[in-house]
Parts: sequence; structure tokens; C-alpha cells
Amino acid sequence: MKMSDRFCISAGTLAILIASLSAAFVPVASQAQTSGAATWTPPRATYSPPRTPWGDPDLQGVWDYQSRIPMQRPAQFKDKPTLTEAELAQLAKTPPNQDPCGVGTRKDVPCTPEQLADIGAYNEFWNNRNFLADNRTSLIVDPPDGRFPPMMPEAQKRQAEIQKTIGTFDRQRYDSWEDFPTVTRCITEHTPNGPQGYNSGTLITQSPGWIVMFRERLDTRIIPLDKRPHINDYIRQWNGDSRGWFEGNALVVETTNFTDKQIIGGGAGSTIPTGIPFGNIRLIERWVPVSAKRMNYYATITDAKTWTKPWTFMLPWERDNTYQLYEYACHEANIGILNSLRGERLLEQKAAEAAAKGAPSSDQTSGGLIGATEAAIRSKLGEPKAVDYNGARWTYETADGVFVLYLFFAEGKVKIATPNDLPLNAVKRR
Amino acid sequence: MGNPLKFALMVLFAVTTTVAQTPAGQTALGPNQLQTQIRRLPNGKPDLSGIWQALNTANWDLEGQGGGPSPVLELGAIGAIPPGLGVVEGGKIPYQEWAAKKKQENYKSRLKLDPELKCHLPGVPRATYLPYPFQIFSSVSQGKERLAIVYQYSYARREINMGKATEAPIDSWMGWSNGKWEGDTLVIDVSAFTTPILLSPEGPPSEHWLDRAGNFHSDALHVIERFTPLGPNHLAYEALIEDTKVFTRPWKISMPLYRRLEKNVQLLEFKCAEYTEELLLGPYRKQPNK
Repeated sequence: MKMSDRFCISAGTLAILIASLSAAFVPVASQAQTSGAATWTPPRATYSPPRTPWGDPDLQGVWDYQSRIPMQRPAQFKDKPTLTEAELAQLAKTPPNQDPCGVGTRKDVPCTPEQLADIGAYNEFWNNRNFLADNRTSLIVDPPDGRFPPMMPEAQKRQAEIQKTIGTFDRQRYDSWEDFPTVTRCITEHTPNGPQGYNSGTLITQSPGWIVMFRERLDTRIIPLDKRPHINDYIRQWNGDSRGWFEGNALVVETTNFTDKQIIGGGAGSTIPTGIPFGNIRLIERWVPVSAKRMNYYATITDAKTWTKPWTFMLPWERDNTYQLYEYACHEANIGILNSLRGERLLEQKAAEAAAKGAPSSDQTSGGLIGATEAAIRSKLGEPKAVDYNGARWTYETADGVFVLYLFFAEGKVKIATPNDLPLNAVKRR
Repeated sequence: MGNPLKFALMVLFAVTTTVAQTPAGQTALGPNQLQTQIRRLPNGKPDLSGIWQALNTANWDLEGQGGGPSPVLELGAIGAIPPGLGVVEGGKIPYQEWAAKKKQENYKSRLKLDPELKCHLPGVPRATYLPYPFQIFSSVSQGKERLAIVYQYSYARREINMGKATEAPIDSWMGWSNGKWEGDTLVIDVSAFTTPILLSPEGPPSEHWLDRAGNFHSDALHVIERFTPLGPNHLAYEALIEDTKVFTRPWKISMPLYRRLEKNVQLLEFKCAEYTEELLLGPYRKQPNK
């Protein structure tokens, strides 16, 4: 970890917004693939890593795997698994800063009221952005079109059902902690793990017969290398049950016994889309050392109940000797999830109280302020508690201190009120 | 272990031993016989790799206790407190006067305050004697000695710096660990523990607890742990506990640690954050009738 974000408890709410491609150029070995075969194997590497005294390849140390490459190949790059040097040079002109607006950001333009009202994820300040050089257009290397294989009809139905019952980024509904991604609940990330904005440093330690991986964020994977059988089928774990072995210089790990409780994707580091229970997944991972600094990490996901064929993504891991893993004490300070649920219940309570009294007319609620001038707002609500973004956002609060009202102005008039159903007589006058 | 060369190397490590200091433990085999069975690293130091566990009641009360009823009525004899001799050298923890009172208050509110109840990271030394196994990974390779510990409880973990001692860059729940060898004893110096923060607006402040009886320490805690192999399957564990804010002098706990010898033993997941959600967040779950 390179920032003091040890207590950033809402990691799971950070959507990875991977929009464009890495600017640097390193050719990826051409990949001869047999589409769909469960025995999909990565291209051979000529590099031979040093060995431990007991004869295993020595993969110990800290690795990181930041990437801007999307899991699936965007339509614009159809039939184009890699970019040319010229195309990369063109893309290099696109700054990595993804903040769409803000005075002092690279774009250096004021935000629109809509942009200000959209809280969104953490901005660029929080991201390490230590992207690894890679010229591909998707992390998925098989199927060769760089897209997830088609889903089975039953799995599509199941996915739609699950999506109805849980909170998502698009439709936040928080009845219970189970509506949050498991990262937000401080339980686990996805295994296999994908790119995330920060905290993806991974420490590998080996001892005879074992390899252990400390992911900085939450997960520890302990992998026996003695080809023992898997644990009983009815014991299920968030990170499954892993068995590893070396094939030449490559570490191969087979993982089964995942739990069906893992069903939410979409957050940082996630690889499996929301609505696919992990229980039937058989995961084969391969870490192939390709140079002293780099391993190519391949994850092949097989679940015949969900996809018509297995699929494989590749994410390069790069050694980072300067990266010190810090403790990710997440659950200990997980106030975010508590406050989210409290807030939901308070909103329900207020709505019930309002309904009992009879709904106030729209000119008595904050939504009725839209279109009002600054002077009109002052005469109705008094002085705002705060004015930010060069006057574009005014802040009021309710007399009971529970709710904050934001009014976003454009051309001198209120364009957005958040929330828009707050009774105006609840606003504190100052 | 399919590789015959690898197997031969491991056998070689097992028999390449140095004569070590006389161990403190007493067992059926003579000390020298047991010493020769200690697996060793290429640098001649004991290889502590493996899955270990304390078998005592230290986590109930470091000072020891007679048997007692369950703190939770519904659990009957399942939750009853097992009797156990203490692990504190001299029997009592040397609290400062205010701290002795605080400990009594902690005890009274233990069903609300114990961080174990909430699945908080256990800190050191409590992680060692929680009733769960832990696994040590140790190696010397490419001229670098590495040591990592993973505890089954909450998958708490520690990276032990076996190189030149370094200062903690930041405080943490599990502390900052610098390890070194004194003969056959692994000595780990642990410091830089966090100041607990308020978990919930309504809740009481969390504290660092040493056991379920409310024994506690502050962020000034400094622990010196000593792991000494008594044979291939036993370690002598000692922790010297210093905390000038809470105790009148440094004090020591000691206990044996046992290697878990079951076939194919492994740490299974005990990600207990999940098991506390109903307890900690239950009041804020949407009620079906609302």
C-alpha cells in the first residue's frame, strides 16, 4: 500500500471504471489457443526462475497487477486482440486521469450540476495507477474474441432473479448487509482476483510443500503443494479449496469448493459478473514466470451450469520490491456499512411518518425548489450552511441534524435538489 | 512431493542438525534424540514451518480459573468455562491501580466489549493462544530468510521481518514484527499497536484485550515473543509483555505449542466478520413487515 487508505472501508463500492488502454508497449507472445478446451494451456516461456533449496521455482516477494485493460474486449476493437505501436501512441495522448471534470484536474473544467450530484467512486487521487505495460484489448484470452462465452439459458434466468434481490451500483437497495459486495462486508474479494485501483500488492511466501499468498486487501490463500485430495465437497469456502503443483517453472493451482454465497460482482478486483453463484466453479490458475520481473497469471474458469464453455483471462503480475504490504484492518472499522443500513432505515421511517401525515405538496418539499433563483432560495430557507464549487452547490441541513440537502445551481437557478422529497419545514434556518 | 530429488533434500534437512541447547520440556524421548529430529533451514536454524496450536485455557483467563457456567445462559454446558491453570509467570498480572479497576469493569461487560466477540483482529500475543490453529511459513532462499504466520481466526496474519530490524511505518492491530535468532530460539519483537477507534456511534470504545476475562493492554504494548523448539512437534512459547501505561513492570506468559499432526491438516476459513453481522448490524436490517 502506498497511501494511508488502511481504513477505506467502502472499497467494494469503488467501481473499476476501465475505459481505455495502457499507453506503454510491450509485445505479448502470440498465443496459440484451443478455444473452449478445459485443458487450455498458456504459451511456453523460456525464462527460468531461481529455485528454492528444496527445488521449487522461487516466486517469493511482492507482486502487483494493476491494469487498465477491460475484462471483455470492447466492440470497437472487434477482431483486434492487440494494438499496434502507432495505436498505442495515439492512446498515450489520452491522459490516464479519469476524473471527468473539476477545477485543477487535468481536464480543468467546472463540473456540471449532474456531475456534482453524482457522488460516484473515489476520484483519481486515491488510485495508484501503476499500470503494467500491456498492449492487449481484453484480459480474456479465451474465447479468442475476448468476450465471456454465452451463458446457459438456466443461468441467465438465475442471474436475472439474483439481480432482482440484491443491491447493485445502479439500483442501490440495502435491506441487509447481504446486499453489499463481500469486499464492503470485509469478508473477501473474488478469487480469481482481477485489477483494482489500489491495494493489489500480493506477498508470496513459500516453504517446503506450501505456498501462501497475502493479498494486501483481505485475502490470504494457503495452498498445499503435495497433491492431497480436496476437502469434502460439503465444506464450502469464500476462496474455495486450493491444491497446487509446479509444472516446469509454472505454478498451477486447482480450486474447488467455492461457496454459493459469493454472488455479487462489479466491485474492485471482481472477475465474475454479478448473479453467478461461485459454488459450481472449478478454477485452474497458472502463474508462468516470463522474466525476472514478471509472471503471466492465467485463470481458467469452468462452470458448465453457467457458461457454454470455459473461459480464461490473463493478467500480468510484476515484481515490486518497493511495495510494503500494510494490514488491511477492514471489519474493525466498518462504519460505512452500518451507516448505510441505518440511513436506509431512517429514510423508511421518515417516509412512513410523512405518509401517515399525508404527503406534503411538491411546493413544500425540496423538489419544488427546482428552477428557483438564489434570492428565492435565500428568502425561503435562509443562508446556506456552505457554498462550494464556486457557488454551484449549496448545502442545508435539517434541524434534527439527520439529513443534508444539496442544491445544485446552473445559470443562477436550482437544477438539482438532493434529496428531492425533503419537507422544507424540516430545514434548519440560519 | 512427487520429485525424488526434493524428497531427498527434505530428508537431508531433517537429518542435518546441530547440537542445540538443552530444551526446557520433558518428554519420553531424551532431549538429544528430540533435538536431532528438529527440521532445519539451510542456515542451520530450526524450521518452524507447520501448523501449530496452543492447548490451554489462556484465552479464557491468562491468570487461570476454575470451571464456571456459560456466560450465555442458552449455551448451557456447551458454553461453560473450562477450568485451567494460568499461564502468567508468578500467577498475577501486575496492573497499575486504575488498570486493575478497568479490568474488573471489562469483565462485567465482557459480553459487549470483548473484541473477539466482534471478530476484531486479536493482536499479539492473543493470536497465539486463541483456540484456533495457526500456520508458520519459513524459508531461506536466494540468500533471504522469510517468515510469515497466518492465524485461522479471521485469517489474521503477520509478516515477520527477518532482516535488519526496521521501525514500523504505521500502527496496526497485529503490530510490527522484527525477528531474529538467539541460538535455536526465534525472538520476535512486536510493537506499534493501534489505538482502538470507536466502532459505532452508540457503542462503547473498543479496547485491546488479552483474553475473554477482560485482561487488556494499551497502544504502548511492547511484546517480545520467544519460540523455542523442544522437538519436532513441540515449541516452547514465551511472551514478555511491557506496557508502561497499564502495568507496573514487564511480565511474562509461557506455554507449549503443539504441532497439528492430523493427516492432510490445513487451515480452513474462519472469516468471522461474517459471523458477527447479525450481532453488530441486526438492528439495521429491514424488517419484513416494514
